[in-house]
Amino acid sequence: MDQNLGDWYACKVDRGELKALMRRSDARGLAQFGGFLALVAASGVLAYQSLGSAWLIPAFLFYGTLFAFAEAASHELDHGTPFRTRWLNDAGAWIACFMMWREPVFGRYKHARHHSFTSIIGSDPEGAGFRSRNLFDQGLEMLIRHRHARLHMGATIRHAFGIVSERDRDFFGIPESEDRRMFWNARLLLLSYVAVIAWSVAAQSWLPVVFLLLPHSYGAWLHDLCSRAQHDGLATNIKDHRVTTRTMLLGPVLRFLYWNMNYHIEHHLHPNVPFHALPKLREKIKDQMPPPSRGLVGTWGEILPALMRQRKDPDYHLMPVLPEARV
Amino acid sequence: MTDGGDYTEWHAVGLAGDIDDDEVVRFDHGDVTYAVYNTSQGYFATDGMCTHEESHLADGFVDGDIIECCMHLGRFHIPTGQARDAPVTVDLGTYPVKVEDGTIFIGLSRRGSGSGA
Repeated sequence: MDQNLGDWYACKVDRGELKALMRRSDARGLAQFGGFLALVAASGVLAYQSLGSAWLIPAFLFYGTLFAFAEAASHELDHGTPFRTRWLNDAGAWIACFMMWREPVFGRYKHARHHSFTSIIGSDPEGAGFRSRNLFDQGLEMLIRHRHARLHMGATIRHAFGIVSERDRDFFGIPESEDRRMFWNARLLLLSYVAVIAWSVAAQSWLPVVFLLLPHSYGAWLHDLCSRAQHDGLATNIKDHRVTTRTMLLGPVLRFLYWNMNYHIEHHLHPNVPFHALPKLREKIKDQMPPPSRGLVGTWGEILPALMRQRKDPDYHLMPVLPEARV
Repeated sequence: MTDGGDYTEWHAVGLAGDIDDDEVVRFDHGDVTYAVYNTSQGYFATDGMCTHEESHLADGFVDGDIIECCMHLGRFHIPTGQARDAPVTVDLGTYPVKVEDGTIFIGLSRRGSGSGA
């Protein structure tokens, strides 16, 4: 598949209005990321206080579920859009990447490729085209993130030892000039994980590991239900985000935790628009978009039957009704 | 007109008022694309395509003296063309710009391309 980015569908939006939507704000970034970290910390206190009680499992599940939304934070911070001040983005990305077992340079190049080749089978390293057709494996990934761990921790360990694979270079497109930064990031990240494990060993307690390393695994389910809805069950190999990507309407709590990434068609059309302006972008271009899916449960009501059918008919996919087909 | 021993041809891009503050426009000459910027530090011109992948910088976002590509959000320093943030690692070529009688001109080498896309 060629890489002519000009071939992709582009929506019409006034340049001046778009420019206004692209503006970054440190205040909005701080409110969002600070609010998210405060929520995680507060739920962590609750989880700690539940130790020795019957509330232990639900309390840790609640903590882990909130914690795992750091993946949404990490996504936005890697794009560099939540804060106007660059070092705030970079510092936030480090915190979120630590929570997500993800080295930032590798993550950024991998995600750039996802934006270049969204849902193009064999080229997109994320999204629907990347997934196993095995529903058990998909369910397991949602519960423990074993594939994410293999990919990202594998890359972190490899890069910490100064090893760059052919796939890193040729598929993910990581240039040699990034090696040094990527290697040192990987070493620092790996060292911080070793430090957490050492803390657990020294304290003879699982708590540091359970609070800092494992929530991305045991708490992944809700974020994964949101993020899987971005592309699953939709078309592949079409250069139109409106048919390969899904926008779904969610309530304010999930929108906050998920950094408005439910407006996912809009995010792919204009990645420069920060999370807080995506609903406004949606308003401006909604007459050019397919109808949104409604609610997480409703959306999965569409996706699950499609995934089941794809097991027998791999070419099957949902096809949203585009505005031009409605007139 | 000469410029440091090399011949430079000056090409009209448009009227100064045509480019809003903190904005970028596309300028095509021959089969090469350039980006011309109006920043608080003045007018500047660079190659028009991102050095990471084929994407027009004129569709990007000008923030002070930084242009952010619309596709993968790689960032360049406008006055120097320096690549600042991943995934861009290769600098942009830069070109002289002047304003005469309210018209913006970009200076291109006589062969017409510099290191443009």
